[in-house]
Amino acid sequence: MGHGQGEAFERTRDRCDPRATRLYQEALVWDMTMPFSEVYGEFDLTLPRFVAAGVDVISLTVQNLPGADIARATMHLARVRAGIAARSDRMMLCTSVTEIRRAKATGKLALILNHQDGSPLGGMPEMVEVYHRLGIRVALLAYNAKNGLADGCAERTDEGLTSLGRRVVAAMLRSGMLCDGTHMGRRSSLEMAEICAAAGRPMAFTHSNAHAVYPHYRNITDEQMRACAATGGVIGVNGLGEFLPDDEAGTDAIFAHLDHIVTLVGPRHAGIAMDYLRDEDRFWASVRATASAWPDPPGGVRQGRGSRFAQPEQILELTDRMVRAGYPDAAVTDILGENWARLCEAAWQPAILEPAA
Amino acid sequence: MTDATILLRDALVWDNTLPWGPGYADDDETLPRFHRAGVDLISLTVMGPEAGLDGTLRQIARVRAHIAARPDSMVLCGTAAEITSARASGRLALVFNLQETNMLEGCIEMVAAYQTLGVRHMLLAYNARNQVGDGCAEVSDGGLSRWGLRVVAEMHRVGLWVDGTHSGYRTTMDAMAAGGGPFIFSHCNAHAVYPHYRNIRDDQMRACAVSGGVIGINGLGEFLDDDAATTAAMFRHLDHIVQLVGPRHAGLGLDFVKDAPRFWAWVMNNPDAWPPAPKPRTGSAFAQPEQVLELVEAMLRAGYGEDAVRAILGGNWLRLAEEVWK
Repeated sequence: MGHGQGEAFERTRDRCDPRATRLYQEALVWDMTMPFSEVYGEFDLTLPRFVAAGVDVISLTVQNLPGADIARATMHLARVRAGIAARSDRMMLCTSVTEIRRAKATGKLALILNHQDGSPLGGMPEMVEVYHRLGIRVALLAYNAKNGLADGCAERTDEGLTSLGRRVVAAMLRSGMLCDGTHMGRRSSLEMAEICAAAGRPMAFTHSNAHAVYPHYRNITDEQMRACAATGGVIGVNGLGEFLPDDEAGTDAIFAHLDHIVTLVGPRHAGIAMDYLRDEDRFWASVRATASAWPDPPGGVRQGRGSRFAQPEQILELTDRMVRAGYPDAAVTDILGENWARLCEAAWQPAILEPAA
Repeated sequence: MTDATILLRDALVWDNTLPWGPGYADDDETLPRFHRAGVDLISLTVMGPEAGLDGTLRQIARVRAHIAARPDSMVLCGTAAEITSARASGRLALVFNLQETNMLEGCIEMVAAYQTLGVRHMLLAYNARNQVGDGCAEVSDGGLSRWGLRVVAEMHRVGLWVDGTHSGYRTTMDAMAAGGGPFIFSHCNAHAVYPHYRNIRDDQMRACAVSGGVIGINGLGEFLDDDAATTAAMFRHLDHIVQLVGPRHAGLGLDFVKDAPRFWAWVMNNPDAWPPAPKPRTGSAFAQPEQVLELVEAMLRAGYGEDAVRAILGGNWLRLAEEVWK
């Protein structure tokens, strides 16, 4: 841990309500999304900062976006696994909530792995079990743009899952992989929720804000939130300025989305997913280079594009906002991590399904 | 029941090579047939030189799904204890192997990833040269590359058997000289019995035994110097290994292919990997799984003790799995 990283956290702490600080320090703090592709994965720059900021669990996105294939995705996954194994004194790859709690108890950062897009499957539902074996525990099917599995949230169209996409969802449920509707089109995500509900498994929107607060195509509607919550699912608020919208990605803007979720579906269905990456310029350059996946936001390109990302120390500030807004202790603790833990305990159990039609 | 039948029934029987790539994996005939013939464990070659990382992972995905869909009759194993327990439950035990290293595609971390997915041995180079070293059929016989040394060390580190089958003479000798753990030849016959480039020399066998490794005899007619792939021919190679390095270093790696014409067509279309053999190619037969019983009879007739027969049938591979696999 660098000296400056600890200082940033201490400065934040000094501004926060003592009850918030106490709750935060005692809670399991779980960040459900961090880009960790070939270009964004930084074991020794970013992760220690999150540890210094009190984060116990991080879900790493271990593929390139947009687009990945089996070979590229698996090689990167193999390297990330090796990178975690090489730092086993301070971090641990976890595939169960039991392991996550053991990691926290032994003072290690718990890491889980996710995919944001179906492209690493190469069109084969059987690859789901292979990635599950290699540690992937969360996946979404289409990242903004349409693919062979589902529609993305930024598409011109809003179709449901393809027949291959339905087989992939079934394979995920059979393996015990959490189904994530983030970045997917409205109807595709609602169909995912339906299939999960029928299988008795919760789904999630791991890092999605509220369309009712700001009608960006990356934010989800109240209907999507209700469908997710009805499965026992959880919606994670996202710290990317463009979706808030707030160019500075301030904590009050994040709290507005969180509070909408809590008001709509209750504190048992909300969580945190910062979506933090250090190299913001690189991210915005990639957004500009993939206009089909990233069409203009509602207010045009001048609004939000190039905005900041929320910083890890803001999770404590968000705790402070929850406390000041009168959230009970249990709700705060649930939102900080226990909701994700309960969700994953259920979603990571293999489901018995009827044979695929 | 004859002595041989009883021994075959009571012993752990391990076949360390069965081609099971996209062109070979059938649905539901071959594996049950091996199980009925008394084989308790098969090491499936889920990919050879035909594909890179993409094709290898796709085939691993298919085969894992095939096994998972038949939980009452077969189980993918990763340790000696799992194999013993599979056998006790009457199920066929399976592990994976790779007959190439090209599917690493230069990513050393893929060795551990393949291990996680069920691979327990990989051979260094399939007949032709690759980035690791020369294959046994190359025009040259160079040693291991720097990359090859790293691959061998990584395989030992993650608990894989390093396999010298199909690899060039010096490639295997370099790998064995590098040390790090037991080195095997999963499916190789004796060059001293028949000087085919796919058969290995006495000093390779000795170095393998010194490393603590095992040599599996192969049932492919062309390498036996017997187009009919008879048990008598297999026993000649087996007995050479046993006389040279002792019964603790011999095992089975039958290499059975159901569709022999398809295999020979592939060989003829790959002249770089499969240059001419010492004798003209006639599309020889493959030993059949039922010949394992005949092999037990041949060993008993030759005066092998029961302990030696059990070791050769599977005990040696199991010992090595206990030592190396994680």
